[in-house]
Amino acid sequence: MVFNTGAALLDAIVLAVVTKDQEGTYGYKITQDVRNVIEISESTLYPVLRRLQKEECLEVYDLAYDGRNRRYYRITEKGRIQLNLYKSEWAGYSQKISRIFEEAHI
Amino acid sequence: MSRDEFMRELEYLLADIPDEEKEDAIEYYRDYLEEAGADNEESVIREFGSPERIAAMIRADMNGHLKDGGEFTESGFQDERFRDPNYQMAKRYDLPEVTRQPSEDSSYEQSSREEGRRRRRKDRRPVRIILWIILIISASPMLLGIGGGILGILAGIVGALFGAVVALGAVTFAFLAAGFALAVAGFTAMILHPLNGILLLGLGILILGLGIVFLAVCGLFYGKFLPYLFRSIIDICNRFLHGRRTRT
Repeated sequence: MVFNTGAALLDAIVLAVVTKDQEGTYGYKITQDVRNVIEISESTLYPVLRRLQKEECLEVYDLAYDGRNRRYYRITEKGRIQLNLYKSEWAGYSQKISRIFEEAHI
Repeated sequence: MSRDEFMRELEYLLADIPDEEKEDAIEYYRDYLEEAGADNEESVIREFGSPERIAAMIRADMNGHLKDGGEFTESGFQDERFRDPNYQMAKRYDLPEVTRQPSEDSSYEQSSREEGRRRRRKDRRPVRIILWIILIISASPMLLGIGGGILGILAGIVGALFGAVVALGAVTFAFLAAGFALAVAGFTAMILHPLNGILLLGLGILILGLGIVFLAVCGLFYGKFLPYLFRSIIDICNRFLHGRRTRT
């Protein structure tokens, strides 16, 4: 990918991925879902998830799975508001960029 | 590196951070490797890089570095403040070639920084030279007056000394020569005019005596006074050059 994904965009993508499952999702799955869209390394997401959790955009809870605890991430109300903001910002931004590309004569 | 090894290493590296942070991180990575499954385990650990890298990342995040200055991009985490060679580990967490790029960057930055310093020093030199030139030109009349005066006095003293040295020698030599000549002349004249001759001889001996007195003065002057003079001049120079050290 030639374009960089900045911190805010990565936050938005993670928040969006987490909302896909109503009951939340876990670290490995989030990473794989994000990796389907953009190229990130396996270790990129822990600090992002940890930060979003500290900022109370995500909450965690443990659920027994396969004889052990699995940590699930779920979006909070604050996280939803944040994600909405990101979505509208992105809509405006991507629209403008797309338009300027369409107007370009190649 | 196996999963157990990786986790043990990571736990060890995070031993000194707060328990809550440590447990959260350890749990996350243990979970992650568990979910990845035995098949993917190896490739995931390889992509993690090293326990050191993961630990550095967790620490940086804990200190709030990631939030303030860093940026996650699809090529990994980038933070301009981690350009310091000491932060090599933390600088680009998620690039596969962790060691190569930071060292290039840091060496480049170091050399450019050094160049900047050198340039700054070079820039200041002409300014200093110009200031000195201005100072010397504006002070030159005074410097010339004072310097000229001092030089004149010194030259006068040296001249007087030189004159005294030469004159004393010449007078002594003249007295001795004249006394000797008169004595010889008187001695020879005694044959023709005994009285005249005795007078001349007496004058000659008198002048010879004066010459001997002067010779003694010469001995004192050349042997004692001049060495003393030179010694004190050298002393004064020494005191000027080395402060008060030579004062005894």
